[in-house]
Amino acid sequence: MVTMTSLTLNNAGFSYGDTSIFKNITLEVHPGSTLCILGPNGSGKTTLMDALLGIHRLTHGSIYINGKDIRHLSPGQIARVLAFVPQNHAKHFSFSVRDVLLMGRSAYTHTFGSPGPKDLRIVDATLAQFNLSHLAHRDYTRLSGGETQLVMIIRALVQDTPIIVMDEPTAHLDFKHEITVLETIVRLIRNQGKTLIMATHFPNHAFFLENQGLDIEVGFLHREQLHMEGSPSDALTWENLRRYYGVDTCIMEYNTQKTGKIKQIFPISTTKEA
Amino acid sequence: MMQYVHFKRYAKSVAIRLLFTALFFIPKAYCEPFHVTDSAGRRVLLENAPERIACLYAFTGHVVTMLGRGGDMVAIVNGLKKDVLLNRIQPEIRNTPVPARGGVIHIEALLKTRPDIVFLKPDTATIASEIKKLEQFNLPYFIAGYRSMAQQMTIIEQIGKAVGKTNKAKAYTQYYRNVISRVKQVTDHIGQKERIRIYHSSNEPTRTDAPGTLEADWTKAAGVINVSVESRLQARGGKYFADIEQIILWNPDVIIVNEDGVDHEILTDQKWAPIKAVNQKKVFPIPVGISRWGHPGGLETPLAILWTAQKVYPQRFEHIDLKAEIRNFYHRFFNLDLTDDMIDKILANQNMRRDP
Amino acid sequence: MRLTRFYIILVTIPALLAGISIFFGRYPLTIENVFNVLFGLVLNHNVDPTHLGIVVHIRLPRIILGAMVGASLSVSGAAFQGMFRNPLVSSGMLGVSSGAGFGAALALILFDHFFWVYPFSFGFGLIAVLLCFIIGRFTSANQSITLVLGGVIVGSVFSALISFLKYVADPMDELPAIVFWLMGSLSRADYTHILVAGIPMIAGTIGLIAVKWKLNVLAMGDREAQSLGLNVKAYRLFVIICATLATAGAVCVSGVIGWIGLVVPHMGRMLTGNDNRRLIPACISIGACFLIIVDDISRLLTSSEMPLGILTSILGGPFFIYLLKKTKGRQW
Repeated sequence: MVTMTSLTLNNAGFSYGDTSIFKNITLEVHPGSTLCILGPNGSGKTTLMDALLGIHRLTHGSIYINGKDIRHLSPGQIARVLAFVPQNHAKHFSFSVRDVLLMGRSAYTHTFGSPGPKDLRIVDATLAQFNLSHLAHRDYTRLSGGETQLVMIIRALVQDTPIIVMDEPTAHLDFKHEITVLETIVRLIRNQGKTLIMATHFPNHAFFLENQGLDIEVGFLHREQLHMEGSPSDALTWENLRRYYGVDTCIMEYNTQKTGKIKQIFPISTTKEA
Repeated sequence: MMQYVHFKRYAKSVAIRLLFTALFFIPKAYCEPFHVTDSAGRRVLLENAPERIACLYAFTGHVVTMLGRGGDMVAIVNGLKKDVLLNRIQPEIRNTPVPARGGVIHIEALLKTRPDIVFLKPDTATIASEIKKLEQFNLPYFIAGYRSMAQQMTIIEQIGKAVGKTNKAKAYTQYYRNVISRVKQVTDHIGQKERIRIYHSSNEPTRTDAPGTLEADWTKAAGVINVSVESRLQARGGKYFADIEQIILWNPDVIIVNEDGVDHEILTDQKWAPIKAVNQKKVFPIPVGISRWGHPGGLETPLAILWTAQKVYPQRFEHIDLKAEIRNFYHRFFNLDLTDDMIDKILANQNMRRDP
Repeated sequence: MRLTRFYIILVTIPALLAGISIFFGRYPLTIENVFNVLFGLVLNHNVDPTHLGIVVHIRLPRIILGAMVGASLSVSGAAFQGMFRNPLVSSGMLGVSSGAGFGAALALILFDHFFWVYPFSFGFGLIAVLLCFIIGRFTSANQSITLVLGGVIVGSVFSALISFLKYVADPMDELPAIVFWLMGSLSRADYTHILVAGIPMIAGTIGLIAVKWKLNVLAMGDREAQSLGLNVKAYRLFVIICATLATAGAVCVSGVIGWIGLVVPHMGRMLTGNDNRRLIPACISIGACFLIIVDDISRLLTSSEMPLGILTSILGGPFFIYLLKKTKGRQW
C-alpha cells in the first residue's frame, strides 16, 4: 500500500561553523524498514533528524529521496514523503485536537488555501482508527503528555507519508504512556507498512520493538559517526553499550508464554576507565 | 582765629562731605537697587541695571529687541532664530547660545553666558526643578506670563523697567492702548447682531483660541465675535482643537488663519465647504512680521487688531492707512525701514519665518 | 451553515454600527435630515448643502476610515501574535508604529505642507521593518525571536528619535502638530485618504485573509511548520509584508492609535478561539466595530477632538477585563 520510497544518505556531514556535528554518514534506508538511531543526549541525533527533514542543509554530502537531492525539493515535496513527530511539542495557542491534526494536511493545500472536507474526513478516520475520536474537540493544550504525543503521531499519519521520522517520541512520558506510544509505533510499522526512523537515547526501546517481532536496525551515533550494528540483538551488546554509552550493563533474556523470548538491558554502573 | 579755625573745620567737613558725595552719592544715583514685578507677582530685586540678558522665552526676546537692547542678549531660544525680521535687526543672534529647549534649562550652558537677568516663560516657571536650578546660582529671574492684553502691557512695561528702557516700553504700550481705543470708537457703534463672527485657526486648521487667552482678548478688541471663545474647549498641552462639526455649527462669517497654506487647505477641503466663510471665500491669512500677528508671543498685536477690524469692516475702517501704520510701527519700535515690497510680503503671510 | 451565519454576523454588526454612527456628531442633524441626504443622493433631488456636507464629507469618510484603520490594526496584530507565537505582540511590532511616527514628525518639521506626512510615515514604517529584518538576519537560528528582539530595538530607537524631534521642534508651531499626530486622530479623514491609505490597508488585509489557515501551522513553530510542508521563510516574509502594509497604511492617516492591535486580537480569541480561519475574519470585524464606537464617543464627548489613543485605552481596558473574567482566559 505504500509506494517504494528510498532514502539515501551519501557522505552526509553537518557542522555549525567550526563545530562538526556528524560526518561521513552513508546509509540507505530501505522501504518498510525501521531504523533506531541510538546515542546519548547531545550526540547530534536531533541535528541528523533536521537534516533529513530539510530544516538544516548539510554542509557535506547529500541526502536523496527517491534519487532526488533533498536540496532541490520544496518543503511541501519533502513533507509528502517524510512526516515528523517532534520530541517536545511547545503549545502556544489552544487549538482543538482536530485543528492540530488538520495541520498534517498542509503539504496538500494550496499556497493560499485551507484544508477541505476531504482532509477533515482523513483526520476523523485516523482518529477513529486509534479509538481517539473523543479527543477531536478537546483543547489540545489541556492534553496530557502521552495524549499529546499520540496526537503528534496521528498528525504524522494524517500527513500520509511513506516515511515517519521521530525524535525521542517518548521523552518526558510516564511509564504507561511510554508503553502506549511504543505500542502505537509498533502498530504503524506492522499495519501501515511505514518506514520509521526513530531517534532515542533509551536502548531498551530498540529491544521493545524487537521483542514485538519487528525487523529493526540499530545505529549508534558516536563521535560524529553513525555506526550501523545490525539488529538489536546484535547491536545491543555489553561491548557496544560500554563503547558508545560508557555504561556497564548486562543483557537479560526472559521467556514469557505470551510473547516468547524478550530482552532487556540492565545498567550496572558507569564505566570506570582504568 | 577761632573763626578761621571754625571756617577751616567747616570747609574740611564740606570737602569731606563733597568727597563722600562724589564717591558714593553720584554712583548711587546710577546703580541704586530696584525692583520689578513679574507675572507671578514676585518682586525681583536687581542690584544693577542688567548688562547681560538671557531671554529663555521668545516673547521676551522680541520685547528686549524692541526696547533696543537686543545686542545685549546673551542667551535666547530657538524660536527667535527663525524670525527673518529679527535676524535683520540683530544678525548676531545666529550665534547666540540656546541654553534651554522645550522649557528645560541647561544650567551649565546658561551659567556660561553669565546673565544678569533671566526671562522665563510661565510654563518653565511652574516646574520646581527648573526654578531650583536658577535659585541655586542666585540668578535673578523674571516670569513673563500674561493672559490678556492688559497683563501683556504690564509685563512689557516691567521688562522695560528691568532693562532700563522704561520710556520706550511706555511708548509702545501707549501706542497699543491708542490702537485699542481707536478701534473701539468705531466698533462700539456696531450692534451685537451686526458683528462679524470669526474663527481663528492657529497653525493647524482645527486648532483655535480658548477663552481666557490673549487671542480671545485681542479678537474681542477688534470688534468681532470669536466663535471658539464662547465654547468650552478641551485643552491638550495648552493647545485647543475643535471638532469640525462644531466649527460648522458655529458657522463663522470669516476665518482667519495664521499658517501659510492653511487658508488654501480650508478653502479646498470638502469638510469645510458648508461653512459660510468658506462659501464666500472669506478665509484670510493673517500677516506675519517679526512674529505671527496676534500670536500670543508676538508684539504685533496692535497691528493684528487694526488689520482684523479693517478686514471684516472695510467701510468703517476706510480712514485707516494700514500700510502707513505698518511702516510707522516697525520704524518706531524696531528701527526697521520697510520697503513696499516687504510690507506686501508681511501682509501676504509669506516667507517671514525661516527653517532652523 | 454555521460558518455562513458566522460571516453574516461579522458583516452585519459593523455595517449596523456604521449606519448608526452616521447619526452621531456635534452638529444637530435629525434622523429625518440624515435620511433626506441619503435618499436625496439616491433619488437625486435637492438637499440642504450643509447637511449633505456633514453626512457625505465629514461623517461618512470618517466612519469608513475608522472601520478600515481598526480592522487593519487588529488583523495585523492577530497575525503577528500567531506568527511570533507571542500573545504580547501587537500590530506595532517590528517598529512599524514608531517608524511611522518618526516619519510623520520629520515631515511636520521639514515641510510646511501636511501632505508630506503620509508618504513619510508610510516610508519610515517600512524602513523600520526592514531594519528589523536586517537584525533578524544576524542569527540563523530562531529568527522569530531575533525579529521580535529587533522590533524592540528598532522601536525604541525610533521612539528616541521622535523624542529628539519633539525636543528640537518649535514649541509654538511644530510641537503641537507632532503631539496631536502621535496621539492619533481621524479628524482629517476624507475620500482621498480612504483611497490612498486604503490600498495598502486592503491589500495587507486580503493577504492575511489568504494565509489565515497557514498562520495556524506557523503557530506550531518554525521547525514543525516546515516539516509539515510549509515554506516557513516565505510565509513569514509574506505575513510580515501584509501586516506591515496594513499597519503603515493605517498609521499614516490616523496617527498612532495604540492598544487596538494588541487587545482586539485577544477579544477575538476569547470570542472565536485561536483558529485563525475564524480569528482573522473576526478581528477585522471587531476591530472595525471597536474603532467606530471609540470615534463616535470621541466626536460626541466634547466640542474639541479627543485623541483616540486615550479613548481606546480607557474603553478597551475595562472591556478586556470583563471578557477575561467572563471567559476566564479559556482561549489561550
